[in-house]
Amino acid sequence: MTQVHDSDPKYRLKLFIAGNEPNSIQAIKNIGDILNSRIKDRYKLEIVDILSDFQSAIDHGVLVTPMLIIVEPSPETTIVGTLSDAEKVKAALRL
Amino acid sequence: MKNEIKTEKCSLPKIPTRIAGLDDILLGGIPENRTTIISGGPGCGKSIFGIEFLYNGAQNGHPGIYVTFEERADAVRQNALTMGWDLGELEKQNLLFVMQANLDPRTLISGDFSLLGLFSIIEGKAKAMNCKCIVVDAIDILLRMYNDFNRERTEYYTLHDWFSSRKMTSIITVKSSQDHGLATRYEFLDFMADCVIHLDQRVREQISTRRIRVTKYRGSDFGRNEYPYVISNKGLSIIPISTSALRHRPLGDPVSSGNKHLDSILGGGYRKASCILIAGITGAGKTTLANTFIESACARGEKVLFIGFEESEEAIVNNMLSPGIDLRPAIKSKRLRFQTSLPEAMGSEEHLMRAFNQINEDKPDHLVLDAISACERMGSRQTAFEYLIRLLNHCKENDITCLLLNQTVQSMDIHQISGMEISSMVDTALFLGMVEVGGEVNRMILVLKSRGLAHSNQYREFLITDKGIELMDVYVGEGGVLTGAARQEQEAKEYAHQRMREHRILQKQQELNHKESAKQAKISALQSEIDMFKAELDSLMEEEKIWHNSRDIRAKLRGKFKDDTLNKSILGNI
Repeated sequence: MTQVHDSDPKYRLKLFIAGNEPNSIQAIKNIGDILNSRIKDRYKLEIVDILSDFQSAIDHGVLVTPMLIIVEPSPETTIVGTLSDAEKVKAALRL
Repeated sequence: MKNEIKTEKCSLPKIPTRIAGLDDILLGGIPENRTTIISGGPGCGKSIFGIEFLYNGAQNGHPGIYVTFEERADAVRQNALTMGWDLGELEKQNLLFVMQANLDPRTLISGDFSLLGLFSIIEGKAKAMNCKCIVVDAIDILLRMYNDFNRERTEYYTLHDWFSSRKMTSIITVKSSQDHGLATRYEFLDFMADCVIHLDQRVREQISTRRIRVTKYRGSDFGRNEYPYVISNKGLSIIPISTSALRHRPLGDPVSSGNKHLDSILGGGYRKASCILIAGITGAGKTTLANTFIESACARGEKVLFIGFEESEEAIVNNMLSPGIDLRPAIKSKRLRFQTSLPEAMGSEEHLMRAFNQINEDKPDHLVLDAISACERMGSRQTAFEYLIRLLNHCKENDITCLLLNQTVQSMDIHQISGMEISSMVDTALFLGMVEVGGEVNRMILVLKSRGLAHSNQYREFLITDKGIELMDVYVGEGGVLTGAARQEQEAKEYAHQRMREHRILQKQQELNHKESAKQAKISALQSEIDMFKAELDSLMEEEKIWHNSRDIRAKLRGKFKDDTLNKSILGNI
């Protein structure tokens, strides 16, 4: 599941979810809201379902879900949880 | 040993841990498809427990996954290598997977999350490796992220359920501490798990000891005692005392003590695979006696292990040269091996493991321990007792003769001799003492006990000469046992008495001879007198006859025969 909104995104993110568990659905919604309200079309969000791709989970050390990795802007930052605290997420994205 | 571990078969399926001694306590192993909790404070070997379990399993073809939250995977592999376990090699063979599950401490938390990521990784890997055994080391690090104790607790249950539902045999390590807050905090884990094993490291009398205890095992019996264990360079070793108590073998043939005279007193020598106790005060010659045995045993080609707590190897070898015992050839031929250390240097378990490892490596015929009185310095009297009982058990099981030296404080205190309440294990007991008679001190030896052999029950004097030990013949004269100069003096006195008695007999005999000859002389004198008288009588009789004849002739001549009858009677008498 990959959503590309820009050919040269300034913001690159990876969201690891576990199937359709409530926390994961919540996280997808929350991050979408934040990104679309502030940096619409300037980000690349990759959504990885670890239930079908456990190797990605191993590679990225995803022990808990949902987990958001902000690849860019660097340095890489990790946020776990439903991302319900929009202010915290925005701060991590330096918005 | 009240808590004898039964060896009956259990219906509950178990997976052996193959950790030395542990399966005996668990009666087979940890429960299959269930969760086992290992709890313990820092440094007590929880991680090693987990790695050893997986390593042993992998060696036997059962793949396993090790999830570490605390250490880096590289560090885990490196630590395992120090025990000789090459995890990397097993990982290449897909028999093991070390998963580093460190979460970046800078990770932000925003909202609720779950452990599905972890489960997914484990499940995916487990399927790929066809693995059933999982060790989760220090998951509390991860769960602490919740910062909510109730939530933490729920997640533990989730984890437990998840493993159970997937029929995975799991070991979860949990920190426990003497701190009461933490202890009660994780108490629920003991209720949750199917099998709970507590590891404990404590310091008693400045010496650290480790204990393992199984507190719970659903559906199975288990050894309920606290058992000492050690972390050696070969992993965890648990030493259950009661499992081995009844496997003793009968005593073997007599082996020479190295001194013929002593052998005869003992009724042939020491018995092979027996336990010999040599007790005595300092300087009584215990070490010399033991080394006499060692020298002769090694000369016969037998192997000896010397466990010394009193002196260094060099000191013993040098000291023994003065009584003419040369241990150097035995050391050179590797028949004699020393293992010397200070009792305080480590806990009794480590001492025991060192001894066991050496025994298993060398397979000695005999073992000398100098001295059991020093063992108390490993901690407490109880510690020393456990150490000795375990060591003796191990030796008896392996047909090893045990020569124990014990230093007593008082010279002739029989009660002290047995030492450490191990007297029931002792087959032969020798007591070396010193007696003071006539201003000098002399060494004495007494065989108190020699199981299965007829032995002398007399005190003997024994000397340490430059040609080794020499036992003197026992003096059994008037006035009890005597030693040293007193014995010599008494012997000289005896000799003089003897000479005197002999002399008097001779004298009397000669006197008698004299009397006899005197008697003979007198007899011959009387005989000659008698003969003389006889001769005189004869001549008188002759004269008388002649006189009668002449008278008859004269009467004839005168024609007178009146006195005829009278004359005839006189003639008849002559």
